[in-house]
Amino acid sequence: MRFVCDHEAICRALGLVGVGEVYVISRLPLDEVGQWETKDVAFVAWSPLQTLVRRPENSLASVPGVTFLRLPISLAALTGSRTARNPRASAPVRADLCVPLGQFTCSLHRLLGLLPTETPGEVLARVAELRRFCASHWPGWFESALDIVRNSLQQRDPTNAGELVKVLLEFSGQVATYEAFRAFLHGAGKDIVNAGPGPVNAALSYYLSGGLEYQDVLETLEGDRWWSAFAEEFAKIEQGLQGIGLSGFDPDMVLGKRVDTARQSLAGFAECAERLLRAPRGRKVTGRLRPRLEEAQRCLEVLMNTIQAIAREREKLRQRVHQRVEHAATAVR
Amino acid sequence: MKTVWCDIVDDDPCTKEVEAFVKGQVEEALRACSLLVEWQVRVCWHQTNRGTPFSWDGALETVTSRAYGIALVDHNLPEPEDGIAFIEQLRGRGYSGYTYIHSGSAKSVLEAIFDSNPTLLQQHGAGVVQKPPEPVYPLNKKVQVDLKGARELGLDPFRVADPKVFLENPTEAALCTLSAALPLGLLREARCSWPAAVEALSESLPGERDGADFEGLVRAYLCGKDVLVAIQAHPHGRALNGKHRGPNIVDALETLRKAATGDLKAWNAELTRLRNEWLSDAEEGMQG
Repeated sequence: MRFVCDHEAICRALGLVGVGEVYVISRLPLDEVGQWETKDVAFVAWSPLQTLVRRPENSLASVPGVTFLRLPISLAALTGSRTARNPRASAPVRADLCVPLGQFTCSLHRLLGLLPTETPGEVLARVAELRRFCASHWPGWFESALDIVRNSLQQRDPTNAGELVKVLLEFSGQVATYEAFRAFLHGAGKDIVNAGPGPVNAALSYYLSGGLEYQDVLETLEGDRWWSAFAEEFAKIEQGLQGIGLSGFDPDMVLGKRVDTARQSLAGFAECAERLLRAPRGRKVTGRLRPRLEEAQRCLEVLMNTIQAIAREREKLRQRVHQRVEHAATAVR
Repeated sequence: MKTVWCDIVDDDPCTKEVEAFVKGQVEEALRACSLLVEWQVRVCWHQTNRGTPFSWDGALETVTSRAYGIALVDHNLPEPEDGIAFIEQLRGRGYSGYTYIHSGSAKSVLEAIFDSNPTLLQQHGAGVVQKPPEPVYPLNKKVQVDLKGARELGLDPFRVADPKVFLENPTEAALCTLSAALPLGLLREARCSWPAAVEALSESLPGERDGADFEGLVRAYLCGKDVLVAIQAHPHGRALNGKHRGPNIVDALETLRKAATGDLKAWNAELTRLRNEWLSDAEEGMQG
């Protein structure tokens, strides 16, 4: 039996008792879940199922075939849950319900289905959970739209609320794709302009135009070997994009070959930088070093231009989303 | 010289007097902490109105981008509690500067706001300050306290340790407490006696020390260790001692400790009671 928990603390608790394979929903092994059968999965939580599935991240809990176990539960019931399941209802686990974009779109579809029939309290509770989920994964994109959905529902206008939900569905894949790059964008931890790459690019430019000594470039490189951290961050971005792919949206439709370009240029720069730092010190810059420095700068410029292009497109998307939501909101009012 | 940005977020239009007052107060605090030579203070006013969609976005984006900052957020933005929601969004986006509710309301109102939001306002780098002319809770004193706190905590001035800690809520704290207690009952079932279960649980405790791990502290308490003060001081403990319904952390743990001497049924009944009281409370709050 595989136990999937809605909270890490439950994972740690079950891990202490040693009941079997235990996972938290936000960190499932995405390359494996597609091979799992729902009959082998138990969703473990403290909340009742009805409350639990309002949260988009717990969409998997309500899939037919998945066993739901509410805590506290006896050890006998926990370990015996395998025999209590219904194998006839089993099917492969939907991988899209294990990644944020798939969970979000699934919850939006469910909300659309509930709008005409469900009680206002239940629908509003789901909207509140969607808002929290969006603020956590894609801050600043959909919260205001969901506030308008909430307001229109409070005014008993489910039709227009539905139109807004459709706008969110339309843009969710693109937003998730661009937001995957947030760590590299302005104001973030690894800001492509202000953090490591910017100062190195400036140092290389000054050196190649004769304004700085070679030693200054080396000192800049040595002062902040940012490329290793960037490579790790980039790997996370690619993992996030793979997750987006699992949800049925193809990030390449938005990004084209930019991810490949950025990865190659980052790797190209890292190789040049490491070679430069490994070269004997105090040596006069020879004809062999200059092309390496030029190559390092070329790679860096490609990397920065690629990320900056993504940043520009992200801002254009933000405007489009705002316009569409404003348009739908006007209809709501 | 480093720059600290004082971002004033208000639904009222900018007034130069308030801007100058804020700048002066922060400079006074820096001077009192012998930091004025290293820092320059800049003030930025953001006029927002929640009546229009996305009107907070620009302010949120700008304030979040500050490396060192103080966000002074009006409580009524324009509705009461909007200021709290704005600060929550700032912290959710990872803003690691100081956040203060900036209000012209009476002292009693400020105290009510402060008491109602223990997680968001009662920590280092957060709080309430009163607008001029005669502030009971002056900005310069609050900044001084937080700058001294930063020194004690080994943090840069105008930075908090972890912005996510401000988003702790009673539900999260309740889930962690319940989950921390869960293994004791399961181990009791497996080992057939409470002393054997406590012994098995105790084996998980070394390495979890000095209050760094809330669940470890709760388990240590259930194993008979004297860690109640550390539990109450932890943000989770504070969240469960705030003004929410349901038992507070001390009462909850005491009843659990007592239940861990009787039969398993009583233990599970106690855990179920706590679960129902804490989580149904959160559910009502969410729907409200």
